[in-house]
Amino acid sequence: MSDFVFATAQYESGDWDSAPLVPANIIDTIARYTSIDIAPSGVIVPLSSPSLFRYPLIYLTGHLPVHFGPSERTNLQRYAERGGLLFVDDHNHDIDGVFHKTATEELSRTFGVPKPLPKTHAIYKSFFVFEDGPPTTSHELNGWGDNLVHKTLSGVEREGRLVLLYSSKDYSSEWNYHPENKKFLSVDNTKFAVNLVVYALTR
Amino acid sequence: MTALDRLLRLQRSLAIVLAARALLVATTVAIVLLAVVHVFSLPAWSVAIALLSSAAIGTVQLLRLRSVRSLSRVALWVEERTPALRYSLVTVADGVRSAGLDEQALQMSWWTEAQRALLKSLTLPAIAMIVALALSVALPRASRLANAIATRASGSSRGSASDADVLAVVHVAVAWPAYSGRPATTVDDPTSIEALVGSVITVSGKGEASLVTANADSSARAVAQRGDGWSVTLAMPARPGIVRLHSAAGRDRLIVLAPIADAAPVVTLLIPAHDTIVRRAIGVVPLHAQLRDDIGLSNAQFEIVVSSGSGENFTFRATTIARTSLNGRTETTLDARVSLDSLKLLPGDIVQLRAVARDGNMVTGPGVGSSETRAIRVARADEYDSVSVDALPPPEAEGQILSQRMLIDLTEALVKRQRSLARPLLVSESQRIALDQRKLRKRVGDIVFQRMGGEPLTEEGGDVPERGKLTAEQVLAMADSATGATAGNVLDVEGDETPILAINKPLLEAFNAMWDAGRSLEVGEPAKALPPMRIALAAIERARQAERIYLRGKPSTAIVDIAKARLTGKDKGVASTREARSIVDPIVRRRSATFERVSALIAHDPDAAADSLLLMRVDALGTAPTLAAALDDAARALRKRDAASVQQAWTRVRRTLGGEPVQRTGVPAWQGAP
Repeated sequence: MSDFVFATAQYESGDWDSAPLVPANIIDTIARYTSIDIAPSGVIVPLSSPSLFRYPLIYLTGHLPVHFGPSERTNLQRYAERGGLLFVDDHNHDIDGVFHKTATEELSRTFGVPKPLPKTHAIYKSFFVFEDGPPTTSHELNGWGDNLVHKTLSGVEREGRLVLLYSSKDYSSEWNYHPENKKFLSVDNTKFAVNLVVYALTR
Repeated sequence: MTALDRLLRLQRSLAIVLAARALLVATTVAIVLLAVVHVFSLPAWSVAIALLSSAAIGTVQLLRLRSVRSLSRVALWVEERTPALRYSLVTVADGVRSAGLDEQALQMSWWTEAQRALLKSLTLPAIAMIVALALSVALPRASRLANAIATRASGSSRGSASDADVLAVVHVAVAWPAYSGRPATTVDDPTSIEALVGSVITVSGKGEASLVTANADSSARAVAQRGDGWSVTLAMPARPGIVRLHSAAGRDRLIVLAPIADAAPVVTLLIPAHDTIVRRAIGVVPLHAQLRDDIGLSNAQFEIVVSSGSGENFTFRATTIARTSLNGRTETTLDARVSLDSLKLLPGDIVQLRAVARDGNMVTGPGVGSSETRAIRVARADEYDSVSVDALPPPEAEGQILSQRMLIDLTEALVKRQRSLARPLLVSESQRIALDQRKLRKRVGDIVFQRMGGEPLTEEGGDVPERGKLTAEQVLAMADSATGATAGNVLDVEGDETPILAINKPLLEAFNAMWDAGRSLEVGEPAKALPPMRIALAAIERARQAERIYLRGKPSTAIVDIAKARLTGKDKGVASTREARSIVDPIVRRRSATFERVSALIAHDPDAAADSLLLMRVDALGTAPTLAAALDDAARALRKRDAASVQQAWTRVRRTLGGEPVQRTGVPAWQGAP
């Protein structure tokens, strides 16, 4: 069996590489808590590339306006049909921001309108149990961005499994540090990433 | 056992029998009333009234228990049935104790008689309850049978005022929403109505309004009397629904409401045709969009978002231009011009352009459609080497330069005339083309070296010694020296070659091919020059069509030491178990099961089967329009009792339910038995 490879989406518009340390941090977290065979470094995969289908979980983030080209949109729709999970995080942490507005519009056009996920959703129990729903980020607590603590994530499901998970919580900022620096944290704030990976691998 | 003991025992028996009798009577009444509610399809509150009435009757029955509380009254009840006791039992009940009295009270076996009387009092209510139960089962079937007979009988005398006929002929009038501009339509005896959401649907027929009840979306609708007929008015809902009409004679009619959703406008941005990068934000960009809508457009505009900044600090400006009122046109174009100067763009800024149109839907809308977004980016000074060569017209300064294609044409013409020309003249004309080829080669060389930050090639005419053919490594080395990079520290190496080399490779190939062509032309051999000239042209075409590559730099790659990090986390989680995915879509499975049940219903109740098909259609309208159409055909065929049509429609429904055969790659085609 091949290793799990963490993939970051590269799209034509916007700054897709705005959180370059997130992949390494998530890879480190997966190794810390699970025995999942995982590649030591992530890959960058263009959304229009057929290689997208090799990865069960794709991470997409950015600050700038997002618009998908026809090949990117078609590829993402096929990706969802074939069982993939696209995790999109708003690096602006601002629902009035241009990433949120353009990305949600593009994603709605591609997958359907994302709906809020209940706190009882399987994504919050797939490895660690998050009774209160998605973990809060320091960026929300500091009042940056839209100055809101978002209670839920939203998503689109097909046949009982998530194909799109959308976050306004800015995990991209929260997790964008070198894994070596995790030792300075009293509580590991990347544990939710394990749930994402385990969910993507088991659903 | 003393007489008093026997009397007390009888008192208890009496209480139990009275309670049981009250229960039987109340249950019987409830069954009868619920059967009436069901047969006449009375509204939901009738059920509550039926249950309350039966409870009240049961309570009244239970009040008789008060008389049993007195032992003397129980004794009197016995004495009435056995006069030979001569009030001995009443005396015992009053508390008188004597052996003689007891003996007298026990001389007759009055308790046997009393028990028989108690059992007898329960017999009638029990029989009544059994009869009521039987009737409640039989009545609806009898009602359907009577309806069928009445329907057949009314077939020859349609239009009479009998109860069965109020639903014999049904008309439906559809008033479309005003914004659609469509005229009202009328349909007779439909099984389903298709109309825009918000359309006013009026269902009408002949007869008394009091004989008809109507339900839609599980709620009763008012049936009004209009002249000598009845009518029900409702609005087309956003989701598929069903109107259930019921006559006092027990006849049912179902009409499916199939809403047509007003589609959002389709907007296509034709100009600019693709994203662009500009060095300086000057000039005017023409905008041209095509707009279409199924009903009618209300207005349209171009939206512009300008994003500035980098890293974590971004600012955005949004504006709209060319807002135009379209007055219900279904197809039109939108044009505007945006001045980049007026946007005061700085290097690194991105202008996002798109066209947006709204339709005139005032009921559920307005529907909003938008085009693809085009981005115009102003390049930063430090990324000029990554700016792509787009398929744009050449600037005016380059307009006079002979193109490679024209040089090929000149050379081909010279080759054709070659035999008729003297050698000196041939060489002279060939060298003239060679001079133009050299100039063009210099331009290509300049582009390649300027991109790499180096100086243009220093060859001028034929006076300066030429560099000759260059290898990719030589070009890269020159680029390194031009950008100050050391030899062992090349730029952005990714894979086997640098992005700089990858971008410029086609032009470098053209440069070298032009060198070969020029050399042949210089010695008066134009025929030998043609193949490399064509190679140069093809390479230039490839460079024109090359994909844009942003040299924003690769994110720093952190390699995680998996072995070191493995299971060092303090917290423990539990991985969820993997769930098997169903092979067949659960919705399809449910629909197939329902269809099988409907199929079994055809033989003994085709009307019910047709109604079930219509209900299935409502479920399928939103997600499976093909299946919904097939179900409608099947229901119509069933109503007409056309066996051939029913068979065809049934086959179509089955095939639609099963889906089209899927050709899977990798699975070999059936070749027959080995």
